[in-house]
Formats: sequence, C-alpha cells, structure tokens
Amino acid sequence: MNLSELNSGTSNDNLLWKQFLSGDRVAFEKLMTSHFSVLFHYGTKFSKDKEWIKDCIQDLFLQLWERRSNLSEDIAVKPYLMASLRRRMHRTMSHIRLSDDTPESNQHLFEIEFSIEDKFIQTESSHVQSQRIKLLLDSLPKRQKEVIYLKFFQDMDREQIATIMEIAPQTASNLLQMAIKQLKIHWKAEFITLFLLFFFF
Amino acid sequence: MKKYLEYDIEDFVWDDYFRQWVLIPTRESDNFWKNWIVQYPEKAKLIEDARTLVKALKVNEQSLSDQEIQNVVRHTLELAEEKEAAENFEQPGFISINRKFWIQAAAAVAILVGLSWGVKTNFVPKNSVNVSYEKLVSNTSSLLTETLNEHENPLPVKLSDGSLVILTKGSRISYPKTFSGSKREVFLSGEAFFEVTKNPEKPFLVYANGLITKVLGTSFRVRAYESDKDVTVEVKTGRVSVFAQSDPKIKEKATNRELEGVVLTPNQKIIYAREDVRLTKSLVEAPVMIATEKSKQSFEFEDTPVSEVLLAIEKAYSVDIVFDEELLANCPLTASLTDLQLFEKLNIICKGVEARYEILDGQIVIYSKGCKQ
Repeated sequence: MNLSELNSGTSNDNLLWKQFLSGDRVAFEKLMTSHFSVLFHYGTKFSKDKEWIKDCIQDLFLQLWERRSNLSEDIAVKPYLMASLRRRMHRTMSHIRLSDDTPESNQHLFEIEFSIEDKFIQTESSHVQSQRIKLLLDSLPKRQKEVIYLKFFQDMDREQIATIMEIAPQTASNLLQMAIKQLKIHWKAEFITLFLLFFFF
Repeated sequence: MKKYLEYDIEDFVWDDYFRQWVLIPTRESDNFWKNWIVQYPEKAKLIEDARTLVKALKVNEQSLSDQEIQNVVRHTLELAEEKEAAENFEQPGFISINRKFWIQAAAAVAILVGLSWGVKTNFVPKNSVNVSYEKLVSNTSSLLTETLNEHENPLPVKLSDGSLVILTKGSRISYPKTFSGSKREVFLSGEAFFEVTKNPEKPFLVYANGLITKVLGTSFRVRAYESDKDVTVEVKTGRVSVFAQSDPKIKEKATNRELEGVVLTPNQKIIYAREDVRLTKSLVEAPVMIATEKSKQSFEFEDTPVSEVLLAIEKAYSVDIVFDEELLANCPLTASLTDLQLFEKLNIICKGVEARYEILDGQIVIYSKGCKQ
C-alpha cells in the first residue's frame, strides 16, 4: 500500500491534529507519515536535493512537536503543513542565495515536470492534444505553474492557495485566472497550427 | 446546464466540476454527465477526449519508498524524545550563551574593529579553562554525533542546516543531529573547511582549541590540532568574527563589553597563539579573488597609474591596500597580471615602480617614494 493513501481526508486530518496537540505520539507519527509524500513532492519543486528536503520536513515536524502547546486546533492541516514547509525552505534558500550574491530577479523558484501518461492515449488526436497541453503548461510563468499545481493537482481552494503561497486570496484568484486564460488562448491559436503541421509534414 | 454547450475541449479540461467527475466521480456527478451526454450526443466525442486529457495529465514526481518515509518518521520521533529528555538537564555555563549575549558581543566587536587590536588580552586568565575538544564535547548537554576522518582524502560532512564541513585527514568534528535553540554549535579538533548556510537568526559557532569562530553564513577554514601551538582561521567568503574562549565567566565579560572579538573579511586569516592567548591578523597564503569579481576583472594594464591598478586589486580580492594615492597616481604601469596570484601581482607592480610591500594587521601596505617623470 502506498503510504500517501493513508491520508483519507480532511476530517481524519483534523482528528489526528487534535490528538497530536494533546501529546499523542501515535497520532503525531500518523500525521507525519500520511503527509510525507505530499510534502516531499511539493518540496522537490523548490530543490533537487532529496536529502535536504527530507531534513526540512523532519525539522518542520520536530518544531511542531515542540510547539504543540501553542498551535491552533482549528486549521486546515494539509495547507498548513505545505505552507510551513514552503516558508522553511524559502527562508533557508534565500540565505544561501544572499551569500552567493545572486541577483534577486529570479526569486520565485518552482520547477515542475508535467507529463502525459501514455496508457490513456489511444488516438492520434489525443496524442496531439495532450502534447499541446503539456507545452502550454510548461510555458507558463513559475508562479502560475505553482497555482495550477496547487489547484488542480493538490485540490486546494483559493484561500488555501493564498495561505500556502503567502499572497492575498485575490492575488491567488488572479494568478489562476491568468494561467487558465493563457492556457486557453494559446490553445485556440496554436492548436490549429500544430494540428496542421502534424498532418502535413 | 447550458453553459457546457459553449465549451471546447480546453474549457472542459480546466473545469472543476468536470475534472472532479473524471478523477473522483460521485454518484451525483456521474448521473449529471451521463445525462448530459444522452441529451447532447454530438458532444460525446468531445467529452471523451477531454476525459482522456484530464486522466493522462500528470506531474512527474520523484519516487520515494515507504521505507524512506518510515526511516525519517522514526528518526524524527527519536529526536523529539531526545529533546524532551534533554530539557530536563541544565546547560553548562559557558555553552548557554543567550541571545542577548550576541547582541552585546556584536556591539563589542563593532567597537573593537577599527581600533588597533594588537595584544589586548590581559583580561583573559591564562590557565583557567579546560577548552580541549574532549572537555567541550563532554560538557555539552545536547546529544552530539562525532565524525572522524581516518582516510587520506578530505571527508565532506553535511550538517542538518545544510552547512558543509570538509574534514581533513585525522580531524574530528562533533555536532548535534539537528540544531536546536538559538545557535548552531560544533566542536572541532584538527582541520576543516566550513561552508556555512546563512541564517542570521542562528549564529554558527566553531569551538576549536580555545578559539571561538562565529559566523552567520560564509566559508572559512579552521586549523586547530591539539599538538599545535596555534589555531588559525582563514576566510574565503563573508565575514567571520573570532574570540578566545578562555574564561568561565565569558558571559559576564560579554555583558561588560570586554569581550575581544575580531572581524575577518575574505582572504584574511587569524592566528591564535594558544599559550600567550594572542590573536594576530594576517592574509592567507594565496588570496583568491572573490567570486563575483572574477568574471568581470581583467588585469591587463597599459600605462595605467599604479594607484588605479591597486584599487582594482583591492576590489577584486576584497583586501585593504594602504598606499599614497597621490604619489602613485604619477607612476604608470604596463603589465599583464591576469593569471597571477595576488602576491605575484604585487611583486611585479612593486618592481615596476621601485616600491615594496608588507602585510600588516591583515592589510597590505605599499611603501614607495613615488616616480620621477
């Protein structure tokens, strides 16, 4: 069984969270185990260093355990954990970058690899369409990619996206709308071109 | 649901309700879409294509085995328990330096820098403390991991904060598995190069044979063999402050602003004479250009005033060069210095204009009588 499947939803998370806050080690262990994959995968978008990401998650949970008496009972667990990990990684990374004197221009890190699973693709038109959609996703700016990832692949709503990315909810909506708009506009224009290319060359 | 009639394939692909049905269908959504297709059979192909796309589109994720997850989780639980156990013990005096101390230490350092700081060590009792590696390590309350390099090759050690220590043969370092509290403290016996992850909120401290090196994030080398009379610290990047750890009342001394601290900048080194507790600042043997300057610097000069040449060098190596600017402005130099070490560069320059140089207190001082035109 895949451990990430242990995570059977929000209500279960909230129950575990409350048990953990009261000092329940078993609940703490379950909480960490069930969120580990999601956090790890999210972490890989900001760094390629697998071990470092694991360390960050470990530190995050250690700190949660130490501060459990000061934490709120009423939180959405998954977005809270993702936000904490993101903040932790960015904090450390910005320090690294400061010492390297790298310009601040490419502050926003988010490397993601979209892919098309072949087993679903049976027709030529599906093949063309799916390659197209991948290209369009790949060409989005990083912040828009992150919003798309959180919204469509992590099932986060606008408020949760805002919490995680530390932006205003309105900004999250705007980013999402821009991204979708871009995906659709380009689709219409370029799809036809590619479709033609595909059949004539 | 009329709006779906207008939809093209990409509208479906990014539609919440449609995606939910494809990925996690409920009886309600399944009924809805099946009815919709019955109602608009001409859209069936479109719906099928959109479904395919939603299903096929994935994010490539790095694999992570359940075993790996369990290892980290187990380790985290162990650490959590260790920490709770450790909280029941008191920290020994000289290690538990609080945050306030750092602010005061920083102030003290700021005051001392700029002053000449030669032999101002009289407040340090000579033989008062046991600052040997073994003593320090056994006096620490937190659980330490020790790494010893028994091999010929330098051994890289990664610390939990991402910092890197490259341990020279025969050297050992002790460090906590994770850094808790307001400082990152490690203990060194022997020689190592440090590349410290920047974190101004958590100073990084190297305790080595009585010398404390404090940094916020930088790279530097510490040489502190038990058998050697001296401890040396050489700075590669960033700023480092060092001070002697020779007093059990270091905390009070700090409050009195009497703590001796010396700030080192790139290419400077400090030599700490253990016996007479004396610190001497100098330059490293082969200063290197700081990374950001390396790419844009050319050291090809044609009839350039020596003063300009020296300023360029000063900037590239981030070292202080003391010279009479007016005097040397009249000395033209034609030389190709690009591939030379700093001291080779200086030798050529000095030969060219009949000057000489000296390293004094971590600075380069140029003596010259100027040039007759």
